[in-house]
Amino acid sequence: MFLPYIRSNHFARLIVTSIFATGLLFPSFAHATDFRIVVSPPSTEISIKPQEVSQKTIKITNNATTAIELKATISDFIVQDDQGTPIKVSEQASGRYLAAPWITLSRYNLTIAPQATEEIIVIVQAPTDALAGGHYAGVFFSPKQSTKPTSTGAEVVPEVGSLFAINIPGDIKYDATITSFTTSQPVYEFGPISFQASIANHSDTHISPNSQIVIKDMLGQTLSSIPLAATNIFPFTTRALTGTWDNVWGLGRYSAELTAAYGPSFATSRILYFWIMPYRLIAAIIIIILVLLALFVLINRRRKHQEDTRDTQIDSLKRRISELENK
Amino acid sequence: MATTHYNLLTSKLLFGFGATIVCVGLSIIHPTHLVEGTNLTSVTDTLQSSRLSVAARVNATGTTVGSSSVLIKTSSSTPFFSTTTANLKVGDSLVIGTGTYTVVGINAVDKFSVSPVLASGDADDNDPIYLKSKPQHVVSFKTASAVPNGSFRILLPADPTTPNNGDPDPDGFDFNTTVDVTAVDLTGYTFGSGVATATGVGCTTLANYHCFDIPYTGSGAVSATIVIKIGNTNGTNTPIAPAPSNTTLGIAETYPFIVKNFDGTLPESSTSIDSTAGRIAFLEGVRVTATVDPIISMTICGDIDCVVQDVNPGDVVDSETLSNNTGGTSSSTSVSLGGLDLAYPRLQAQKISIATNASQGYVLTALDDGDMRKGTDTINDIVTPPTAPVLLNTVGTEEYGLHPSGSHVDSVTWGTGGAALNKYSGTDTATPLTLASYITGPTALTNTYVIYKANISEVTAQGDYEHSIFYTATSTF
Repeated sequence: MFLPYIRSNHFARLIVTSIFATGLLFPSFAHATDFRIVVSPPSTEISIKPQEVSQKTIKITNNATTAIELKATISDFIVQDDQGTPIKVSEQASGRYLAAPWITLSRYNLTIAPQATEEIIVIVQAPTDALAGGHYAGVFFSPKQSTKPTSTGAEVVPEVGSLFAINIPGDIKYDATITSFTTSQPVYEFGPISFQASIANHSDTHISPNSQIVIKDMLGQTLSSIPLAATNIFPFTTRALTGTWDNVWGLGRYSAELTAAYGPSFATSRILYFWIMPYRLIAAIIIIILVLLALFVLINRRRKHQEDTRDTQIDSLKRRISELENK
Repeated sequence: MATTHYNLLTSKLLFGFGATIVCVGLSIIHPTHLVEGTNLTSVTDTLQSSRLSVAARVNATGTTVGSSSVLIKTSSSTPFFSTTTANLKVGDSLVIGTGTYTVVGINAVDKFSVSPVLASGDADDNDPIYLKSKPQHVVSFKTASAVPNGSFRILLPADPTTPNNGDPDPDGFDFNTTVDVTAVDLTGYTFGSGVATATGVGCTTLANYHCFDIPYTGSGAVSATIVIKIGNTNGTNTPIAPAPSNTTLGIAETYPFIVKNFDGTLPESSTSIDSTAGRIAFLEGVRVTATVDPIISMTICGDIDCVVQDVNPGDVVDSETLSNNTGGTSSSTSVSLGGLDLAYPRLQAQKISIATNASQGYVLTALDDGDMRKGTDTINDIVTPPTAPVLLNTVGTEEYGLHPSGSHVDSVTWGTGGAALNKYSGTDTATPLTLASYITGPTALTNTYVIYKANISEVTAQGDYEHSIFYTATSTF
């Protein structure tokens, strides 16, 4: 009588324990579709010589309320537009910028508990024959499990990338030009003045020019120096830069010289001229001056006219006095 | 004999009494002499900033014209005793060579970066690097005695070699050409104009000290709190703090100063009545640093998950209802449009939220694995990149595409304002479709709705069509 009770009790405990253990060992991914991840860093720059090894760490945080299984993939990337948009490409298409085969991860699959952070080690080893210059690849994290749509639709695969720019020192050609430098209009009535520039990078590696616009007046006096954002420019692409001179009032012709220093000690520059002519204000001042001048002339004439009348009266009185004296 | 002795004693007493009377009389005529040598009390020199100056040298080996990086020499050479970046911080204005630069980063113990880039002549070996710390001095003390119509003098230590060349000195304050001295009137003290004199130029009474004098009229007072300011808070007409040779991080460097009260308005021709010495303490900065990791975050939600940022099917975005089909659903990883209809376009949506603190901002792009398909049958994309997005509203024509909506929608791809409304594009297997981007720097979590829309024609083969779309969020390069 007692034994069956123990047995049944043990059996029940065994079932409950097994269920909990199963839950702990194999967390449910019923809500694994909840994708909220944070990747750090978004980009990394490395400079290594051929055969050298560099080790970096990427942190991935799962901000969802359920665990998530992620897979990490490595892909080369290039940039083609002037906004710096990375485009994943195959190893064949990456050409001289190839880097993906040089990267090894400590693990390619990871399970992250809710509100937890995991790290993976990224080992970058440049081969002996690595070309001097820039090489570009990214590590991308996406859900390991896919979800098919229940009807006509799309399976969606979100992924977040951590970009790697690997520079191999050596005989690197540096060359950049400012392909355009303009203001939004040649003549302004008032500021602010906005500048648009494009810098083309013809180097073997990416550059991050330190650029600034120096504004001078007609007398050559420096009025302002405007630093521009130091953005990366992928090899053989152009990057658009913008700057604003927050100045409201001005008069005359101004020069703006854009200087971009890049690479170890290279610089390129370009100059433009623009006008600030507050024509409505000038017209108003001229009108006010003309009105004041007209008023002055009118008042002066009236005064002279009054003075002339008095002179006539005096003359008349003088004649009268003379007449009286003669009598 | 006794009478003689008595007379001698009497005359001595009378002489003593007379001398006492004379002394008392003199003391009444010149009462201050009684308190000569008394110390002023509560003497302090409060500095606007306790930062030392920096006097370092350029190391041309790691410093080049046109570069923003500056390497400093790690060995000292008189009068340049600053051999580390310990007393520099981001935002400091430095003189390097003959140019003025702003520190934008501390890169190493002997390396920092500046803006703008170094000009020609400012990157030569041993070019000077100066941080001129010019704190206002607020000297406060209590008078020991009431000295009428007198003056106060404050003495600050000066360098014996170059005490007034406008550059930081290793052994004292640099006078810096002109210094303002001011004080606030109080009962018994109406102050005149302050006079500052560099050591050796009219200020010679105590060698290697600069003089800062301020005369006053009035009766003076005992225990009056006097406050004298040397220099200004904006650094103009203010002495330059020392750049000493023997600094230790976190250990104060102290310098003496002296406060004197004279009985005349011109200290050089007056008598010092009260005097007290104090010490000024400077501290080599202890730089506190904290690192915030750069991050990029991505959240993607449909209408059946992400409770906080869900997609409400009834919401209207860019004149489109996010979900107009009872059979349609969306999650983080799939979108089901439900049964498509010849008479109505079918819509479904997701919301993608991205934040980054990276200076490059972010970009969100989309690729696919091919057209939406069932075997060999496809529902064609309306257009694919790089063709510009177009309107998708011809019911009865087979067409499928995406439309993003949000404040970060990529204007290069989608246009701006009304031009961006209701434009749709399919995705390509190789050329990414840019949905959203923010290239000007860090951004808080920003939502972008992605609306999926499909129409079918009479010849569209029956069945469920599907394909895979890859949304990639990265920082811009």
